[in-house]
Amino acid sequence: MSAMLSLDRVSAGYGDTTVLFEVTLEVRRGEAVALLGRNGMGKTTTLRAITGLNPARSGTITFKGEDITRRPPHEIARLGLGYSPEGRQLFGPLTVLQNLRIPFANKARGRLDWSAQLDRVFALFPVLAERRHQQAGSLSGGEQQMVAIARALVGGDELIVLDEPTEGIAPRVVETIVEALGTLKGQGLTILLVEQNVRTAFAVADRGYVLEKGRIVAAGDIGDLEADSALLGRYLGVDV
Amino acid sequence: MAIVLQVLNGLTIGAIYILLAAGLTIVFGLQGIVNVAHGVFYMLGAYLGIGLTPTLGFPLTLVVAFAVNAALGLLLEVAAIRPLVRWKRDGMQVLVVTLGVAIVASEVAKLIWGPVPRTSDIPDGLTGLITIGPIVYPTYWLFVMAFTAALMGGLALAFHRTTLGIIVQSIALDSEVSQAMGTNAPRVNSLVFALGTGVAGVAGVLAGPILSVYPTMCFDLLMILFVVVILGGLGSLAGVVVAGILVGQVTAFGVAYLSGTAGTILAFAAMIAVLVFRPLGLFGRAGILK
Repeated sequence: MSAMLSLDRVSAGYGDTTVLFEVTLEVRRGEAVALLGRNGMGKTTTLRAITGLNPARSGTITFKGEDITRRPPHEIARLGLGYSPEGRQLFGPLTVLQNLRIPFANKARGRLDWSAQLDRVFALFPVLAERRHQQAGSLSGGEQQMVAIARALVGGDELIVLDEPTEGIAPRVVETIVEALGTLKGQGLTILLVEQNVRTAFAVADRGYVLEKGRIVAAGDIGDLEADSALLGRYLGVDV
Repeated sequence: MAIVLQVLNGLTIGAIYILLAAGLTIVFGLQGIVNVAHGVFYMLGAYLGIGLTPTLGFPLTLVVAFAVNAALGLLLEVAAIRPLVRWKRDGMQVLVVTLGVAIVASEVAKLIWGPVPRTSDIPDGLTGLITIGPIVYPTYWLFVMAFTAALMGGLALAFHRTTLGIIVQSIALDSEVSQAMGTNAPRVNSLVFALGTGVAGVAGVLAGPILSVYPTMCFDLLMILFVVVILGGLGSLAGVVVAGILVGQVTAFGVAYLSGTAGTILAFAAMIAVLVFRPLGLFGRAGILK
């Protein structure tokens, strides 16, 4: 398996503060990778460097063989990266369909069929079919999260990057989302997932990296990480 | 009947305000910048109207004025504004640069067309008066209102029904997220900027036969346009329409029953009164001022 996305000694930060220190990781085609760690350890900063929203200060980010370290966000997105930001960040006054239309129009128009893409996300989250003409901001938190994931999918991308997809969501909806991510993985999609909720990560991912104060302190198969109770207690705040 | 005539006068001048404020408010909503040179395109449109209507005819002059001003607007945005926005998100620099552009443009206009105010002729076919019951009103002024209504209706449809319109809205709501969804925001912003300056050029052609045309006209309407934009709520097209009508009325009645300056003073008073109760303006949304 070849690396679809790789970070080579990437450092990043905001203003005078450096948050990430020489992070190296890779996501191979078809696998699901989880980025774990407690709050404020650099998980979101890593994703913002990948998506180009907060470009890396040093190091190299490669996506599908192209150096994307300094590319603007819309070019990275158009290379085939679907993104679901932390806190969902939907366009609240726009309808569900309009929210989905934006990445589709930017990335997939002329290449993919709009109604086929909609069918695909509605098959995953049937409730969105009923909500399609509602304002995204009027939906429940769980439904908004589904729209955010759908928005990362309708561009027909090969890699989706999800920032905390189960944060602040009812347990029943978490189940739906975990199931959906499993389905997507089964369809051959590549997934990079940031999670504080380690149970979600363990259920979905093949491999994991643990971030602690901006550095990768552990990496490996998700089963091995899950079995390492010392690691869980020390870096993830999980009592075992 | 005098009151009805004043209402119609207010609607006509309000129509010009609406066309001009539309570009200002959308550009502010998208990029958070104030283009002080917006009036330059209005002035240029007015002079193009005087110069071209006799040879090209009125409809074609409107088209040419739109195209020329959109092209010049695009040039200004790409050459002067985009680099400033990219290097340093500081509205102040854009303000100063566009003010400089407006001063230079106004002086150049003085060199070319002289300082003496002119008016353009009412286009053929729109001259004369229309009688509706007891009311007799100039055909051309009614045309200006109808044209503005149609244009704003078309713009509203474009923003709410077309994919590009939805993308423009998404940039106004959250430029960063929109870009992460693949939107080439700088390019869309440039196009919308050009659309606004093009419409300002059209407003200039339309205003030619109603208001006088002179080189400093690019500054004179600016203050009242800021009132319209702020009163309507920064970034809101619907707000510009309602506020444009309101300020048009206040101006018309102030001019008719008090004095020329009273119209402007009353317009500011109306703005302050509204802002006391609605600090974000009539249709303002929190969050647009990111």
